[in-house]
Amino acid sequence: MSHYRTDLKLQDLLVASPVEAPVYVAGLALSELMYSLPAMGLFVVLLALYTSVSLGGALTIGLVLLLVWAFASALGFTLATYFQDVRETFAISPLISIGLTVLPPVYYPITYLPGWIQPFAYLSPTTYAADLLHSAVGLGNLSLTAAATDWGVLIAFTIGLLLLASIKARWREP
Amino acid sequence: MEPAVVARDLTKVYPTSTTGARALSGVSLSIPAGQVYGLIGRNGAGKTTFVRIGATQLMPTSGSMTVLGDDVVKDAGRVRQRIACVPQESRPLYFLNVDQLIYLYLKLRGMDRAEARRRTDAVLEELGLSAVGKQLVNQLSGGMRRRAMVAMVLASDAEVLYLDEPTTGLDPLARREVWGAIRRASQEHRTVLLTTHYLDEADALSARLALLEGGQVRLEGTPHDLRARVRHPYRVTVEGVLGLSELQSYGEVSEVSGGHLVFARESSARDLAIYALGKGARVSMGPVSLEDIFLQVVGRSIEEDGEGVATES
Repeated sequence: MSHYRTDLKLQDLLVASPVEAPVYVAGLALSELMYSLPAMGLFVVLLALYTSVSLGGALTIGLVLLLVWAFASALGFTLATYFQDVRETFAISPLISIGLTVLPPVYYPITYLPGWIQPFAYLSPTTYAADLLHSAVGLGNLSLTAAATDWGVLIAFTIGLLLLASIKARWREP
Repeated sequence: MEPAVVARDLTKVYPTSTTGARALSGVSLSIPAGQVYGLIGRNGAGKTTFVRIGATQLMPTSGSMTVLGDDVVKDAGRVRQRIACVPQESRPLYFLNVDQLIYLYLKLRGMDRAEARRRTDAVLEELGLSAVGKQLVNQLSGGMRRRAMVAMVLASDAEVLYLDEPTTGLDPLARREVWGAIRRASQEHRTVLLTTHYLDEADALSARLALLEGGQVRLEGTPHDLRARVRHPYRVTVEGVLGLSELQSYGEVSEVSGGHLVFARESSARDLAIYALGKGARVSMGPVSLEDIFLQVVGRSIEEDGEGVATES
């Protein structure tokens, strides 16, 4: 998103038009999703081959991915509106990547993390998404309370980040 | 006729400025509707800042600006319905072809399919882009890409068009094609605010001009007004026998290749021409060019970089 704004000046082009910020963000988020489709297709094939996912599990996967896509897009848009040069993203992106994919138990169970790090993982919305996804594909069992908590926190994070985007993202520069 | 854009005491200090330098300082301008209005000045003079505030991309620090009667801060939504902008140094989406690029932009602006299709085809033809309409943007030259950006905006139904250095990087032929399209836009009673480094372009296209320097308007009016307002509205080129001291009594003299250039008042210019011809020199005389006016008012050529605010990019 930073590249589109600072290099192509796409945001400036569309600010000076009837296009509104949510449409712009949704458009960019959808276009980024296109690039992810081959990988997502591969994961679906692997899922079908090596696991047995119930209809409820499939629904959970779909909804969780939708929420992750929404909060990540909102966060990306908000941050992108603050960068003056795309090179600034080179410093910030790895930190966000750690916060959203490495620290949370995306690639491993949270119990693999040292005890003192585990509380930090719960600061990331991806932790709750990962918990729900692991459970949906049979890699863990979540109690009803734990599942409800995960859903609640994930939805709250998504709403919070969408609100943050609507309040703090700079459609017009100050 | 009602003005299309009115700026009153417009001032901009970028929040990132460490020195508090003003990118715009009390700029007041009234831009008539249905004309091409040229904004000229060196890098950092404040042209882009002015355009970005008018295009609702940037907040002013103080002062006000209205577009077709609507305030750019309070009524930004209404302003955005009626404007279009080619931002400076903007580039088109590289994964689309030229046709898709223009069509998508028009659809995003809310145009129906048939009208978007008709306007896309028309602008491709008008700007000489039909042959490359199906080519991916990233396969085009820089000049062609710039032309595609201009085409998007000209194809829109916006009443006020902001073109921030639209012909930078274009070859002379392509520049003429864009000029033709800009002229036709004003014939359709659309207002075009044009910023440019090319003074011949500003002179050829603009019904009125403003010369910005250091964030302030230094001169404003029709090209004819501007010529009348400078101290020395005539230029005389003298090649031959006359020395510097003989010429200085007629006006401001500078050396040029093969002779001297004298900026003078009309009567002095005429006297000088007669005197120099009598001495057997080769003489040419005429009204000053926009470049000459710029040099007289600012004291430097437009190509020289200003001390502009770095955040204006």
